[in-house]
This record gives sequence, C-alpha cells and structure tokens, in this order.
Amino acid sequence: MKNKLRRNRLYMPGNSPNLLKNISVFSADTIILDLEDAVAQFEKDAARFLVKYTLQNVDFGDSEKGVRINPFDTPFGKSDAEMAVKNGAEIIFLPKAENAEQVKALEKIIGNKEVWISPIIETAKGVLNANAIAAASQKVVMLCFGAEDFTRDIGAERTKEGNELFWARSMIVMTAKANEIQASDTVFSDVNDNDGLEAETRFAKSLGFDGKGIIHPNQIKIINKIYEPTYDEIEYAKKVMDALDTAKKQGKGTASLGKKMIDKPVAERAKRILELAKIYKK
Amino acid sequence: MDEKIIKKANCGQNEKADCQITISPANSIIIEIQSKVKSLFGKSIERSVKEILEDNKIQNAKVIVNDFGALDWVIRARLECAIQRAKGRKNEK
Repeated sequence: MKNKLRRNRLYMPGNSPNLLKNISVFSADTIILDLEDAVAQFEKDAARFLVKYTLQNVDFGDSEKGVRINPFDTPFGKSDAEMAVKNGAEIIFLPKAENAEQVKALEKIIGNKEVWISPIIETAKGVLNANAIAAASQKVVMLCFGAEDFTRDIGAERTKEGNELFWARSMIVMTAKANEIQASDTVFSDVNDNDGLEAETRFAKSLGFDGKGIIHPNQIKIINKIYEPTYDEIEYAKKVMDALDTAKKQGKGTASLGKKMIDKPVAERAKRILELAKIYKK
Repeated sequence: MDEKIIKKANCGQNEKADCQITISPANSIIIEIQSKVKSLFGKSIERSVKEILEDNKIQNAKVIVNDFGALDWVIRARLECAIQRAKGRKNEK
C-alpha cells in the first residue's frame, strides 16, 4: 500500500537464518531484509539466496516485506533488485541514492508490479538532489535518511545532539512532503540507549518525519508509543470531522470549528489521527 | 543443458538455525547428512537436497549437509548458493 503506516523500519541481516525465521513475531511496520551493510562482501551471493527463500517461505504477519539492495554501481545491485521483485518484496530500499537515474533504473526492473521504492539519502549529493530523486518515479513512497554514511561523507563527527544532521534532516522532510510522500529518519543504532532513542524519535517527529529506522525489535515499542496520538489530539480530530460532516449536510463549502476555519491540511491531519487511533486500539 | 559441478564449494555458517553445505564433483549423486535430528528429519533433508539438485539440473555431485537446526528453506537456500559457486557448463573447464 502506497501510504501504509511506516513508523518503524526494522533492518534484519540478510544472511542470518536464526533472525530471519522469526520475522512475524516482531510486528514491525516494515521489515527490511538487508543485503547491503549487514552482509560481508564474500557472502553477498549467499545472502541473496537466503533472502529469496525468506521472502518465499517466512510469514511476515502484518509487516511490509522490504529488501535493501546493494547500490547499482556494485556488481550486486541489479541482481538483488531482480531477485526482490521476482520473489514478492513489497518495497525496495535503494541505498546511496544520489540521482534520478538510479531510481529510474530500479523502476525499470520493477516494471508494472506493485513494488514501492524508498531511496536512502546518505550523502551530500543525495541531499542536494533529493527532489529529483523523490520525483523520479511514482513508485517512490518514502525518503529515508542515513546519518552514518552522511556524516562520513561531509566530514563531520556524528554526535548525540545531531547538529551536524539538522539541515539534511529538514531538507529530506521538506522534499518528501513537497512530493506528498513519507520521510523516515536515520537508524538509531545504540540498542542499549532507550532514552536516547526516545529523545531522537521525538525530535525527528517534531521535524515532520513519519518514522525511523531501527536495528532491534525492542526498539519498535518505543517508537510506536511516540507516534501514538494523544487523547486531546483524538478528541480534537473527532470535532474536526464532525464539523466537516455538519457543514457538508448543510451544503456549506467551508467548515469551521469555533472561530477557526477547517482547511484541507487540518482535515487531512484529523483523518490521519483517527486512522492511527484505530490502529493503536487494536 | 545439464549443469556440471566443476569444483568444491561451501555455503552456510556454523550457527544456530543454519547449516553448512559442501558440494564437490562426483560420478553420481552422493548425499551425506550430519544432524542431531537426523533420525527425525534425515529423509526430509535428503529429499530437499535431491529436489534442489534436480531443479538446478545437477546429475552428479557429492553433497555434505552439516545441519545446525536449519529449517527446510534455509537448507535449500544454502545448497542453491553452493551449487552456483561450484558449477559451470559441461564444456567449461
């Protein structure tokens, strides 16, 4: 689904059967079978076969089936993408995305199958070309940020405060929203620092990110909690929907709540919050 | 065209839920299975190995499966990769 809820995207190493066999119990929004950074150079072929059989045989539950392929300028990228498309991946993560051509190359492999693309922006060039990348294909549904490679690329030190990432993060959110797609923040890789994860996720959410990357199933709950709508948000959203409903019944072109007019973004946000509330109620 | 195993190759790791497959040239199909659950699953592992060999058009090969509790699809994935690493066309050296 194009606009699926993607609060968390969980990376699973593509060459570890012991982790891959338990995918359905994690209840991640998106599972990413990783063929890139989590796999050693000399095991790339083995991981591709294992990911193929994982896609074919393992129950993903409600999780979206994702694969992170190797970049197209490696000997593995094209074969990774062909395998993923052929074996039922629902979304392909394209690392080191720097230009529209890379996205178009992946789109060509996907053809008319319903497989989405999520470019991972993790270089200075990628950030500056974000709009071309996002607009390159109707298949692009989300832009991801990759901070580890990005800080290395710009020659900055990765800090907990993340000042070095601020502009890139904002740029990715702006670009995603301007293209009406989702934005997902970088992976939080310290699995022992839940306070740090919580703070970083709150910050990412405040910038406009729709979710975040993770590497351990224990991180899912923390992120989901932050994206859970509050009681006040739900009540307000209900009032907005009621007001819209009343205005429609009265044949009015515009609706208002109190003295405030309800414009399209407010209505859409309310709708989204009520949808989210339903998911959390499950 | 039948494919030929032209060299020895391995795939898989000595880890829980994985298996190590070794494939090498032979004059017939020879399958050896080492597994703690051989008495229960030995036949099923052998059947999967034969199916994958057949799917990949391999008529002669020795396959050693060293199983560490791998599920059927893991064994199939590891064997398929080992075949790719070991094979060549018949007229290839």
